[in-house]
Amino acid sequence: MATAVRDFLGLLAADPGFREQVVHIEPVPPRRARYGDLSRPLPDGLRAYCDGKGVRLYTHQCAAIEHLRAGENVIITTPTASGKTLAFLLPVFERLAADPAATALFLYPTKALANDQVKVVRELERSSGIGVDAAIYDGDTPAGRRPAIRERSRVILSNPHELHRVLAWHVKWSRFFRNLRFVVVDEAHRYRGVAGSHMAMLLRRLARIAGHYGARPQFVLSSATLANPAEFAARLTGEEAIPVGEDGSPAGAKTFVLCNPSAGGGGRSVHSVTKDLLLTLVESGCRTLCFTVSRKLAELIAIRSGSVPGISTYRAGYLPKDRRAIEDALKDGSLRGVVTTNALELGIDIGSLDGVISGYPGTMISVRQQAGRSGRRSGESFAVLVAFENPLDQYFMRHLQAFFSRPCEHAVVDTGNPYILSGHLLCAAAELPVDPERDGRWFGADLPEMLAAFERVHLLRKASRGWIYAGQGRAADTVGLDAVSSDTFRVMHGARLLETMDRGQAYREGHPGAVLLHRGETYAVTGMDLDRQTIRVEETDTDTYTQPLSTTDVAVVRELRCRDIGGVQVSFGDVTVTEEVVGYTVRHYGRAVSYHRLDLPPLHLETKALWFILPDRAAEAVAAGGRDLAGGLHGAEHALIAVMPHHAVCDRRDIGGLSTPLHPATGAPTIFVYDGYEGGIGLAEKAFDLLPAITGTAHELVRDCGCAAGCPACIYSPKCGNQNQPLDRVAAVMILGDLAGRLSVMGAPL
Amino acid sequence: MAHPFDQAGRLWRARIDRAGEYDLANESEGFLPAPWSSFVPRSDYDRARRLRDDLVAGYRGRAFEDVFCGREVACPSGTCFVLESRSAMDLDGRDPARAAAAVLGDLKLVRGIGEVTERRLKGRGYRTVADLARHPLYRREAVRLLDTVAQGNTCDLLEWIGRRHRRSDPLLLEASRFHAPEDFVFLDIETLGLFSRPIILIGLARVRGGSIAVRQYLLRSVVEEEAVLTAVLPGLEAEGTALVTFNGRTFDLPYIRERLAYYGILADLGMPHFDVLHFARRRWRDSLATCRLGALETGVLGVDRENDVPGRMVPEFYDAYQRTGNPGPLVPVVEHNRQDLVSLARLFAILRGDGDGGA
Repeated sequence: MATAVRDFLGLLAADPGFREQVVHIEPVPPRRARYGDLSRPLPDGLRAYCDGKGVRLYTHQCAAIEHLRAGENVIITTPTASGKTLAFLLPVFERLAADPAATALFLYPTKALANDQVKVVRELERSSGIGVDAAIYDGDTPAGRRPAIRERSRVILSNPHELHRVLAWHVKWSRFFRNLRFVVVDEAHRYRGVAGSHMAMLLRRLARIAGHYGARPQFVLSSATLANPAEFAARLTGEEAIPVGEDGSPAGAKTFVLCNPSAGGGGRSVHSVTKDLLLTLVESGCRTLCFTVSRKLAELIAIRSGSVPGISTYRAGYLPKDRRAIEDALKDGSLRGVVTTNALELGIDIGSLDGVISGYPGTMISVRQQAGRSGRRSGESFAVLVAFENPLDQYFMRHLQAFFSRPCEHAVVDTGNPYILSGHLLCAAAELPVDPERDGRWFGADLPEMLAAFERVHLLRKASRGWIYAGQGRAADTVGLDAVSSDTFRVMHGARLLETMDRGQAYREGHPGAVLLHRGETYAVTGMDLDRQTIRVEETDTDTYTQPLSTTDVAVVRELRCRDIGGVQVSFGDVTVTEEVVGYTVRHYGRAVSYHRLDLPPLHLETKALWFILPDRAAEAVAAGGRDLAGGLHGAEHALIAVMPHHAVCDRRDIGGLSTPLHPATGAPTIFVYDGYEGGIGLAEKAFDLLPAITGTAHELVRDCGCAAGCPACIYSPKCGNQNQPLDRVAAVMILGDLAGRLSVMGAPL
Repeated sequence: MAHPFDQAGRLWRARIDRAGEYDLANESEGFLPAPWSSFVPRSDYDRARRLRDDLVAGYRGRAFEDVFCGREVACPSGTCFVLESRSAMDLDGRDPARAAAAVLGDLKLVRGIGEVTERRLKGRGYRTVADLARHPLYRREAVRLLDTVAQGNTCDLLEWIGRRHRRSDPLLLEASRFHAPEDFVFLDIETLGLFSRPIILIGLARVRGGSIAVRQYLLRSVVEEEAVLTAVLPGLEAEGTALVTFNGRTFDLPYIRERLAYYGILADLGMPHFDVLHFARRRWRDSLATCRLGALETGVLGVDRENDVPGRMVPEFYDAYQRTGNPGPLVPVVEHNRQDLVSLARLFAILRGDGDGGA
């Protein structure tokens, strides 16, 4: 295999098709194994299992085992394939062997992962002789099997959605909760942002129920590498946790290649370069995993690679048995290339491979997970990142040092989001009466205020044993885990439900006249019923598409924090964002063919924002240079939002922005950056603290871009509601330069 | 003055109001509701909504205690409110001899004996389980069954019959004759929804001396739920009590268990339980389109309800009371529950063949 890798690198250097696009080749040296010792040996059964598998424990595995033995909570953040699973399975089984009543709950983000992992757990159960009746309990578990699992199993594998529903039935689970000793949260890094807030509250509800039955489980978090593991674990579980991150596992040499189709003459698309890389790799005998940023791209690249046998796609939405067949084929070598979304980032065991990453996946956490998927314990491997023509990807192509020295992101978990917090409080009150004294530790200092607010809307009532749920709907059904928004529209094709979308998306993409893409088919929207929240579509064969036009306003409701940094007034507070979809353009290959007006009611979003006023001096300089202030502010806002995902773990879609040369609330040129979720989700708040660094990165991004008047790589936003008008790149550089300079008094920009 | 969480509270309120637990069905589509489907016929829905609005208007300004003639009772955890009413009703008296004869006449209750074996055994002179006490193969089981019958432990006996027969087997009804009429507690609860929400009314009825006495514990506020639960618990757990419900095996009893656990109250609730739904289905499945209680009332008892509230809509009627303090919407809920209890008792009597000298 090593020769195949070297052959491929040689080919990259020689082939003129690739050579021009290779921006950088970074060798990563091999790492030797570091083995550890345990203070006392594992029980015989577990030792036999390790011996049978030829396992010798690495230092980080020993550390995790010792901390868990000592009763501590642990977050393990070593890389993919470093043996994280064993690091928690061994101590969990050790405890379950010593205490025949003890139970453990393993939570996985997907059913597919639980299905994969149950095999590992059962194998350990079999060969160690420690009986735990390991079972999966999720939406696919037949009703007839559920009682036996609840009554007998000591290790239950499930997912957050199932747990969310199960908690109200705790009386049926009393045996399991009473003896609950461990809660394992696998792939914990997935629970950041909104998902993290929900998970944090769900785990508090779980701990509260366990406490009701007299149990206090230890938490084990298995996560990708993060910048803030201890803080993250504490936020997620509400308890202190010991980070275990010093990797003791060995790794072979690896080569990291950065490939930029936009470099040189450009002209080739990311997909076509990705496809060529994948084909060349597979043909030269490397088993290859190709990550794409969307399901659609995964399908597209696989279709285009159709000429070569042994290549398949893999993504969420496939049937479990199909997914398993692909995993097995990849393991036994009958499949040589798989194009996948981040679904395979998860810890599914597929052996070792080489990797192509098509487009920066948005976080360094994902880059490491995906690159880590390629790699071998010994022998060489490599990973190629193919850059998109978007600002972040291009920034990294120009700032290689920043890319390779990049720390992993902070994982943001806001446990104070009033909507998520109060929603879970409702669920908790339906599970057990809420006692403001006793339950303050789970729901925070605002608990009395929340209880009072719920009493005013007749959802909670104060009874002798605490506050009880008095709503007529089932709390857990109403408070979905995924997003705060459950204000959804249904897209109907005849009598068939095609998909669902939230109201904002419906206004933007499902308005009458819109062209809708669904699984490679085009549909025309023929009707939209706002009362019934239904969108009707008909099949159509068109190569036009539609783009909505909207206006956005931000009104400041209340300023919560304010500070002056080097003469820049920066604020954070509550805002109302009002968006109106006023019309749409029909486009044909990028060219606008026609414009249509729409009459839709405005959308309101109550959220949190950070805003700052451009200093007079900067505005004057822009004017003196004959540049457009509005265009400069707009460009600066886009650049700030473009780099934000990098500083505060989030998706670009999680945040919104607005800039204006004169805002009524400030009476001055102002830029707003707000959270795209009702109530806010902690992103603007984080940006408020990190603003100097964010501004510094944004400034470098625009300043160092090779374009003349702005491009998708710097100030063009893929989601601008004003079609990227007006934009003035020179003014944006002036504004960002001025801000970065002033704000840098707070700390050096990146 | 806006509190920071008021907005969140309103959001959840609006969402909970929107999320109904039933769908509306247009009867014009030839729709026939299954007994436990979550559909409410459109016409019933419209009528019930009008009824609710009329009640809100008609009872405006009236106090709870003026509308409901009941009394306050004290119980271990607070006070609650009870409504009492009575109507004529009779149940056959205790007849342990008849019950024992029916049970012991069924050789199939002994493990290993099916239809064919039973016929063969009866042909050879083993007429009752008592005879089987002499049979070398079945002796042990037979003696155990005889003991259970002799002890009059109907709880174990029902479980025994349930293991060997369906839940609808008439033998279970025969076994009910081990009990005196006053042992039976007819139970029906009204709730704010399907699980993990408060019970709002517990209705109990007993037959004694030619009449059925209905006691309804109506919650003036959901805050009284724990008090009501502790008030009814001693009666349910009393020695000799046998429970009679309509679908209580699936709904009422697990619901009460869950609510007791919610308040951390330990209770056994292992009393003998006759779920009339199963017997009714077996008896009238072929003659009635559905075996919902309402359909049985019309088809079997000849009762037609006026101003009834569909069971599925009880939560929103209670919620209307909860939010406005106007007791009007509770009036049909109480009557609905009382009627359910009386009909339940009458169906039970009919299914047992009471008054006609035996089944």
